[in-house]
Amino acid sequence: MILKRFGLVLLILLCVFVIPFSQQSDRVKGIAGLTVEDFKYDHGASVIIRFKLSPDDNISLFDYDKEKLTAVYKDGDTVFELSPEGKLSAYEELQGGETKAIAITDENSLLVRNPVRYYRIYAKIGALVEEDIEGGKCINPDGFNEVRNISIIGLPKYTYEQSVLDDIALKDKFRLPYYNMANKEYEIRLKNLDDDKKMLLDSLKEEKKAIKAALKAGDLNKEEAKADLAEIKAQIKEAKNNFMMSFTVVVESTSGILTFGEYYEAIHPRVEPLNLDKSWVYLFSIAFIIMLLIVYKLTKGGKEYFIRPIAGLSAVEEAVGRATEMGRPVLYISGLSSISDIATLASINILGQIAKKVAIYETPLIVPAYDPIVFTVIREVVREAYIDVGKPDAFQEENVFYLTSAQFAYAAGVNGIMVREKPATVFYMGMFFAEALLMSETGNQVGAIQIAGTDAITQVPFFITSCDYTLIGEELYAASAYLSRDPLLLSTLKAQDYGKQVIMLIIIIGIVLELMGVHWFTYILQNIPD
Amino acid sequence: MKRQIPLMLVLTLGIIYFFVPLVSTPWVVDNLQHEVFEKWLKIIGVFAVIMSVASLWRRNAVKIKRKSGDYAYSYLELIGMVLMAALAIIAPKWNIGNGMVLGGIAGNSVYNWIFMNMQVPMQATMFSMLAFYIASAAYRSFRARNIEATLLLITAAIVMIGRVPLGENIYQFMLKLNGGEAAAFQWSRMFDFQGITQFILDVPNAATKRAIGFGVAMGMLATSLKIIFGIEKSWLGGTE
Repeated sequence: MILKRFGLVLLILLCVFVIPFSQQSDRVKGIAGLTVEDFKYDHGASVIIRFKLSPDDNISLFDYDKEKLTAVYKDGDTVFELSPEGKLSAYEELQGGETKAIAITDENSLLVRNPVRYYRIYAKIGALVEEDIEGGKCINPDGFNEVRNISIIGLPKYTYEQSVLDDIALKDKFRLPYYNMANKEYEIRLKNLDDDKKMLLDSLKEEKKAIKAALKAGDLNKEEAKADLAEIKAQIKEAKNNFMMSFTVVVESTSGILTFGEYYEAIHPRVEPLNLDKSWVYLFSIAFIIMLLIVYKLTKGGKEYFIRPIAGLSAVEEAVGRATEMGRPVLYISGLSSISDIATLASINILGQIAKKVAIYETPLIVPAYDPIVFTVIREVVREAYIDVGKPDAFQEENVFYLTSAQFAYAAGVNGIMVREKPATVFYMGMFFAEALLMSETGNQVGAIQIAGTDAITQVPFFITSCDYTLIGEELYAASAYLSRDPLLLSTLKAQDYGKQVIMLIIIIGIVLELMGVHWFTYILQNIPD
Repeated sequence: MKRQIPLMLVLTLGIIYFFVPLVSTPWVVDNLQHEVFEKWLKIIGVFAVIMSVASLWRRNAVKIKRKSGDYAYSYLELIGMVLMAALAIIAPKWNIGNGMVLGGIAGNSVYNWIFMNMQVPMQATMFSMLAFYIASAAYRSFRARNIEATLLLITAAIVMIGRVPLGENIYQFMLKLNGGEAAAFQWSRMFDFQGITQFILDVPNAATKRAIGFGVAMGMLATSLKIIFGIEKSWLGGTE
């Protein structure tokens, strides 16, 4: 009991206190009111910079003034201006500069004007409307463009292609960027930063060589060459230390892709040794491992746990006995997934237990495999099970075979086996897809007693409909331990139960706190990285 | 030893791969996260395919030898297997007219023609049969034998109506009878099948799915740990 409480308290302490502080601090700042929340260099693939626009959930919209580098926010009925320093000022003060918020037209929209045209921005539906109010002409006849995705593209300053610059020149057409605040985090990806940086440094070195060659050939005088070389040296230093990037806001809407703005920022790419995005997963996993090992140790010391009976697994003995009495085979389907799927591993574990029971009665066991690697494993598992119960001669190698890796061909093959061999018992354990019902209905029609187990939520209803017993989700993973009746294995089920209790506790705490108007707990949970 | 070596391997690799996603240094990303695992799987997969084809051959050969029931199908299977392999690997790439070639696996090969005109339609046939299986399964489930089955029947009926235009038409008709959206008492909301359907899917259905999801996640974690730490040895077969 003390250990149980200790486990719970430890996990809660970890969740509440340690994890929020494990998030990385800001490393790059100052992009027009955006706060850089996270910066990470994923080697060889991309640079990911996550922005957080504001910790205040109520702020629902902002507009970006490139010249002033300010952001305009709408919070309920008030419009704010946010300076690069993060200072907020009220709507009334927002009169100068190129862009003006003219009026809040209704609950959802804000009218903004710049010298070219008026814009009406709809915040809550995540849409924008461009209306040329002065000319009396609606640019978009549909009324609004639904914003699909908003991102900020970062490109290294020195590797700008002319075509990219041309695209950016189009920004004059869309002077104001619009953001759908439903997406609070924007990602900047820069492909192959290393290559770009290397290219830049190479080109600068080439330039350096050319200047030296020109000096040698007498095309440049000493002073000019010295100045050029100093400039290149400075550029190399800057490229090495402060890699300049240009940030461009890209809005993908139903009317096309709009590009806005251009902002230069020096970044310091470096490899992060640890991917702390996954810290939650690891903390929970490690806490679970500790819990599992504690329960395992206690069981080894003689402690007994009550495990609730699972009807589908209690019926396995009966199902195998039925097949023996009827003189018909048992058919075992190990799912249609590969060996890397944990459901398949669970299925193989169950097969080991069932094969032992079948072997004792010398009832034929047919196992058609879907995946070649799974086939090689299950053949050995079945063979070992027969040897283990002292019936090696009863093992029929041709009954454990590879069928096909084509989904519906496999279903047809299994259906054929059911119709021809008339198995008394059919087990479906593992991962299943659309073929689940095709097989289980055929099994139902041939009168077999059917026990299914899967973690594929979409297939569970089909199995419940057509099978006699169905193991839902976690029961599939519990089956092997349950069938073995090994107290040590059963103890791990208890650890799972404790884990679920912790999750339930977190959910209940979250509900209660939300009802009390306390939001920090929910905020932490909602901000767990994927 | 036969058991100790696999168990040691699983423990070592299990611990290493547990921490691999956490580490993002270039060497780990390049060598452990992608390439090694993929290469190993491919190499093992090649040998596994050879063993699998051998097992399929053996099973059918045994059936033919014993002349067990419907062994004619075994002939068909063996012929199909040999024919396809021969066409793809051995057959020369002769032009046989109509722009087709005998050997190889190109788009205009006989191999591809057989696949596209026999295998693909047969698989599509199997898939299309699913509709009828769903109908028979649904009939069995929706019989109102007890309270749970009755609830299921009612819920399913609402969801079905909410998913077809009829549901919206019924609601619009009732709304008109109710006096439009301006009416004080909106009893017509009871016939808003689309809204009710969405509620059923978003609230009770999503809640149940997430609950199962939690259990599955815990089960996966526990199964992985049991295998890594050697607590679960059933996958090796036997007990000792």
